[in-house]
Amino acid sequence: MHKLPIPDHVLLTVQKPARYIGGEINSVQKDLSTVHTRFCFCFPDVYDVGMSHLGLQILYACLNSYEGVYCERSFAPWPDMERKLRDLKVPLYSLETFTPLRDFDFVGFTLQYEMSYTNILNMLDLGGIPVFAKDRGEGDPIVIAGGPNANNPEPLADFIDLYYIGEGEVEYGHLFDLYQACQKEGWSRETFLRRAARIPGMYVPRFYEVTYEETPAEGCLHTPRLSSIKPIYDDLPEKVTKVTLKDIDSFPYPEKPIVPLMQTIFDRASMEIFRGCIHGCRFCNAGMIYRPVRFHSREVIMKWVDAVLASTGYDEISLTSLSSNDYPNLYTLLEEIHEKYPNVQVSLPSLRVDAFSLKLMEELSEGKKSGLTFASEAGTQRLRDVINKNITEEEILSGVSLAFQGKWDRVKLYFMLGLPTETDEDVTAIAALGEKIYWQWKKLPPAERSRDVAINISTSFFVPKPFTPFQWCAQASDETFYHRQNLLRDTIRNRKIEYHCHDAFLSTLEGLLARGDRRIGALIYEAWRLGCTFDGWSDMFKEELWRQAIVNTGTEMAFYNYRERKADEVFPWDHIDCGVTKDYMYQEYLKAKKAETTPSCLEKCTNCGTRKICPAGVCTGEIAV
Amino acid sequence: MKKEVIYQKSGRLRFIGHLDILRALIRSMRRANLPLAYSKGFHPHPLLSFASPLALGWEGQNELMEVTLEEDLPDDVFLEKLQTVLPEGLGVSKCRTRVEPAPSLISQVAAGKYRIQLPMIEGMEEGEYETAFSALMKKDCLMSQKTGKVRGRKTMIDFDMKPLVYAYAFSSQTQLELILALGQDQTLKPNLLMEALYKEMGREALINQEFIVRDLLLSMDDSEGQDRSFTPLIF
Repeated sequence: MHKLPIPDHVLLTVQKPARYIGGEINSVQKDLSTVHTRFCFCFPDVYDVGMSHLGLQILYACLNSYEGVYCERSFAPWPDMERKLRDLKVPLYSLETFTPLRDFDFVGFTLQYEMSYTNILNMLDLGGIPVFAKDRGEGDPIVIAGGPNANNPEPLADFIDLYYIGEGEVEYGHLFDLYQACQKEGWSRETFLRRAARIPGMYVPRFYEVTYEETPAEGCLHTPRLSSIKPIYDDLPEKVTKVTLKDIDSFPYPEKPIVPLMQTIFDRASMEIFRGCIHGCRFCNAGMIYRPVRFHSREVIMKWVDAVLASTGYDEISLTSLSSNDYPNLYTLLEEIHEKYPNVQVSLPSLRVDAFSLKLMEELSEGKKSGLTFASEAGTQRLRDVINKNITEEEILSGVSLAFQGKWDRVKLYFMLGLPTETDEDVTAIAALGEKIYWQWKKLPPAERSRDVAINISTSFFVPKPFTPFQWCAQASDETFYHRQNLLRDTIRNRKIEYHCHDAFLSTLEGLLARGDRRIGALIYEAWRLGCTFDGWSDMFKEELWRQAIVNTGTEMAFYNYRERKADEVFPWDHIDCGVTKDYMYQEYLKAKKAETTPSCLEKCTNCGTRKICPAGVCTGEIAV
Repeated sequence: MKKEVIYQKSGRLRFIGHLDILRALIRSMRRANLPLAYSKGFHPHPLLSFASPLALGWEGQNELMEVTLEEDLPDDVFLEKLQTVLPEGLGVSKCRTRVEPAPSLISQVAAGKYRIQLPMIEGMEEGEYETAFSALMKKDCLMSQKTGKVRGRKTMIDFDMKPLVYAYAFSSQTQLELILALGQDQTLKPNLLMEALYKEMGREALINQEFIVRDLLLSMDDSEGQDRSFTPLIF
């Protein structure tokens, strides 16, 4: 065993020391003398969160399947541990061999949410790696980033050497082959990156030049719009197209996922049942970038269930996807699992509530009635049509009525405030919907309903994201957010309805980073320099420091947040091709403004563009599982 | 079918708390494909019981647990299957089948034998720990606080540690061996005693720097004071 770089008594003074010791079941140990490429997979959040992430398990297994490549893990240390590392001058290390990040060939970050960006800078710094890509030399690791937010790579362009756009299973083999050639031939870092930038899906920000218009954008004081993003070498692609796995069943799935020694957020085995989403909710980034929808076959899923349960000892499996109900023959799959493993609990995220799913949940929970969740997102049918959220009030009301009759007593409803075209009427309609749900319970005879009822309404603020039809939208201001929030709170009069809401500034900041360009790197750096980390944790979020950083860097919110983009806007991510075309999204945006809906991929193909880059799954009609 | 098992927790698994150890053991038993018996009800769980939780940071050399199986399995097969799947730092050394109505070993635990490596201090006087500890033990009472429940509510309770220290000896300048009360009625955690020791020495900065190993679980006869005799709960 490798020796922990932190003395025992120091580890005993931090919270949850199990975060920092490794040694989990199924973590990979390799003989270092047989390894030519060392990769550290970095999750820019705390261990408990990172280890709950299925993508980590998939990539960890995938990278370790290459001979001579060793993938290890590292997570953002909680501030108490960060202080110890800095005091003792111990660089942030990997959990497999306790190697400092700076000694790896590659250090790879997964970009899951904007508010983890300062943690990336912090982890680089703690790991002994220069924070800016331009300051790294021949001995430093190549810093890679991937994951959903890599689709807008620009805010972190100053810090990342190489972006991997798309699904990790596809091109890492080629990248490692190239790196081995690099080691043999003794190429410089620059040469390696030049060649890597020609592999499909790879984007090296330093080889792409951004130009700006000469005058500030309309309504802005000093920030001009982008005029172009172009490669500086002729042999590099104008557009970097995301790489996508065509046959997802063909890829070896992590049959031996790591089992943490401490309780994590999701303490269970996760199994992907399909990738992508057939619904085109217009606010949803995941629904666009993970197209095409590809289902795993039941046979393959059952094979994994067998293997994963045997290798982990878990007693709970989560079947993951963006919308469980869309899996064909879901019930047959569940029955098969239950029959074979009666002591194993199965959980399904994102389940739409109807008679079928209630029956399902009844069986899954074996009598235990936890809360039911409806993500209706908007209060009126008009606004739900605007966002193309395919759920009607009748469906919600009949769903809750059935639930109450089945003795469920807690209902959770999620909404977004600040959606495009939203008015005060849309907001008060949320309270009215809560009231109607209450009456669905009230009007049932007491013997045929749950004893009590608790209706929980939560709102978050709408954040326009890249690669969605709403990427052209203006984001509502903090004032509008608070006005709507207060309006809703004041409209709710029923004691059985509880209201939870979010912090507006956090959403504003998320919007700023989500649609940021290369100039936003300075803001992220400044916020980190002032002491911001773990911004996604409400108790750690330092609003004052972020406001200070915005002032210090002269970042203009009017430009990034509050401006509706014109049709001809050059987006900072225009050189990335995620399949769905810009033109398609613009047409969707226009339809949104007219409250026109678009059918799902299963009903009708609306030619979003995905089929051109990846003819697979639903796009080719392959839905039999 | 009940199996009594002696297990060890050491190395980096020191940093794992009892609930996580419990989870790790259950998962290991599932990986080993042992015929675990489950409780009845909505949430069936394997039937495991433990003598006494090992706190985060402690090692244990001869800890006891009892697990119920649905069908019988030879003791050596049980051990071998489990040994191959345990995470590094967890071990099982012995296993035997308990035939009821024989009382379980777990129910007999009344004391624990601890070995405590005290931190080295630069410029420490010869026998400083021992002198301080003896002074401590000469006091009439040794008050400390522990969490407990008064009328169902969690609160801090004052208690006297002194009668719960059954025996002590220094095996070297910095190594203290202790036999402390451990059971359903009264338990003394060694770290509370160490805190008192550091305070006696005026060295509060050392709190939590010791390394605690529980070597044995003991049963005890009914005698009082010096006459007490202890029996290690091992087989």
